Amino acid sequence: MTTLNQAAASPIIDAARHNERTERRLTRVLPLVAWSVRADGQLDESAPYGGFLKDISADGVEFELHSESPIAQSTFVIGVECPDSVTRYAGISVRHRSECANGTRFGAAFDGIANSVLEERCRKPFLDEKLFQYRLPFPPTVYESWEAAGILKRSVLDRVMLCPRCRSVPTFRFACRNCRSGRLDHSLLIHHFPCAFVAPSTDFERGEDLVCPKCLTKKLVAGTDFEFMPGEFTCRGCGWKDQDLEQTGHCLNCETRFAAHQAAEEELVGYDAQRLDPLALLSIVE
Amino acid sequence: MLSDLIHWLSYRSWNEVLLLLVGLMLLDGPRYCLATTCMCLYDWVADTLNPKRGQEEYDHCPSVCVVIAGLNESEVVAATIESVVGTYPRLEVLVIDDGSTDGMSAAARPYMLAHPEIVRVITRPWRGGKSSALNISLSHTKAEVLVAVDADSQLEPNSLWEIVQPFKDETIGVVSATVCVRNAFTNLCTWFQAVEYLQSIFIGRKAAAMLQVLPIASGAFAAYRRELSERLRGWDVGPGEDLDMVIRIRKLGYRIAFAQYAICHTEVPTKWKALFKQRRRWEGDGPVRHILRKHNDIANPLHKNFMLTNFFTFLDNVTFNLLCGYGMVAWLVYMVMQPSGLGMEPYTWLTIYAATVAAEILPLVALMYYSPNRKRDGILALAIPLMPIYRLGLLILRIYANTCEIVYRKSFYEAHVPTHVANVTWRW
Repeated sequence: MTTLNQAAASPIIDAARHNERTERRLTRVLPLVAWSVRADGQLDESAPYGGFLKDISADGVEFELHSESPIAQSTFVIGVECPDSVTRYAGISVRHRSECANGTRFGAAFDGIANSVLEERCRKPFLDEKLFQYRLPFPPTVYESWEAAGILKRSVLDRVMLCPRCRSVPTFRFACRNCRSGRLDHSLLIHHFPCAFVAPSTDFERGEDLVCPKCLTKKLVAGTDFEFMPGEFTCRGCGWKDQDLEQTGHCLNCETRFAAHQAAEEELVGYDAQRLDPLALLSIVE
Repeated sequence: MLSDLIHWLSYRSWNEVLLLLVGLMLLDGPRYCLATTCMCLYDWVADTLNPKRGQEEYDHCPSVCVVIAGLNESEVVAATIESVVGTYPRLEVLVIDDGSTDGMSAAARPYMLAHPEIVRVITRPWRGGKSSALNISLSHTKAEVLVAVDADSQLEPNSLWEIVQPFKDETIGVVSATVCVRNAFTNLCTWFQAVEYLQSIFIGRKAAAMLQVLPIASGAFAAYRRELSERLRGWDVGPGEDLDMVIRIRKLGYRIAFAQYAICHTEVPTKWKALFKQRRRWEGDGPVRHILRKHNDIANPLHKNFMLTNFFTFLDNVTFNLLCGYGMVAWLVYMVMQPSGLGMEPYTWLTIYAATVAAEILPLVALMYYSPNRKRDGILALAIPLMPIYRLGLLILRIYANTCEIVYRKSFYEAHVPTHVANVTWRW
């Protein structure tokens, strides 16, 4: 489980390279768009800034944003229009800034909350161990604002059966269709071929021998004289007898029992993103 | 031509006329004629004297378990379940899939989900035969009456009510019902069978039940007192398990009733070859295997369970279903060898044909008297001029089937029972 704070506190670069990019830089001027990101992970409602990427390395970027007034925000998500006409995104936090002719020039590292939102583990739902519910690490409003900006794309990862009452994850078992108990006894039937008699195997047992209660034939041989057949299930809870059991769900959170066909079927939704990978960018450029 | 025939007949001696009558009585049609005409006259007089007769309300409502056992009947089982569900208050429906490979259970399962308290589907992993499939029902229900219905037979809405009413009488162990042909107008083959079913089941069994000599309740639709089925520990290995069960219940001292208006509609073979195979099976396992061999003790006056009605049932079956066939062969040979040349004269056969058709017409009157659907039955009766030919064909088939059973015990090798069961079944 990853919480909001934990996600924000997991930078891609280590502390030693915190203030200075040590990796080899790829100098390339490419147009970019930048959205400022609020502390809670949502995009700022103001219009995105336009600008240029100056250089990129494995741990950060240098870029310029056009604006008439100085830009004070320090967390951005940038979308770089790559030479293959695909816009790729990266989450950054500003390390230093300086004024330039058209606006502000930034030096930034790939870390901070914006970078966390773009990480794959934060774009896919995980199972909350306490509530037994699937959820995403950030609040839904974060993903909605990023999706509205075109940075994230919603995708259905799976369909899951959930508790109809609390939407938690259940376990499933074949159980009594009357009381939904899984405590069952299963009987075996014997079909005696010569007289067509069918009864529970216990009716045939006489000491260590098997004797047909109908025709009184003794020393029956399995396969030649008789066959075993699946018999009825008897519920130890309510005494209900049935040959067929019902697939039953048991909610791990609220302990509700329900028939499998009553389970709430929901889509597990995640998000796809085109991430700005410096190495991939290098191969595209070269 | 008619005057020539009358003229020819008027010159026959009494011995010759008697000889012709013997031949007539060896055929099925004229025999039914006598019994059904008497029965119809009796009912007509009784109904006239007591107009309320036969209009009793349904006042007996035991719990019923309808057992629909079948193999590879996925196309028709849904219609059968639909014809049963909702027609009776204290109802269970057990669908027993005898190891089908065509998804019969899957076809029945939606009804189990829709009516979980009524319909249950039991699936056997592999085939075990119809008798054992029916026997499975005994360990799955506590209903007072078991109603066996074929998976390809549909009941009329009040059929279950009709079939349980005779159980008011504690001495009734089994109730036989009417089986009608659903595909009667498909071709001449099904048309003949439809007329035959009407005469031999709808009318014939009523007469047999009145005379207490009814030996069978059709496997397609019959009701059994569950307590008796349980006491007998279920059906024995078939074919002919329906006939066998009824005789075993008769031997316990119980009577067999016939519910004429408990009607089910079933499909009959549409090809002559299929009809031939079906009848060869039916005819072979009836009088020879079950009556003459397995249950011949019902004719033994020294047996502790001897009953006069069972003895007459034995006589009726052996005489009419077995001896009449061979009698007909002997009669034909005797006719042909007549020194007077009687057997060679066309008028002899014309007379027999005319008399046989006439003998079909009297039961037709009885049929119309009892029929709940006179228009349909009237149209079916148009086949009556050709029925003597059909009956003659069946008679030849019966002789063949009985001979095969007597000589080879052919019923024990029928595909009706799986090989692993047939191999260890007792031979009677």
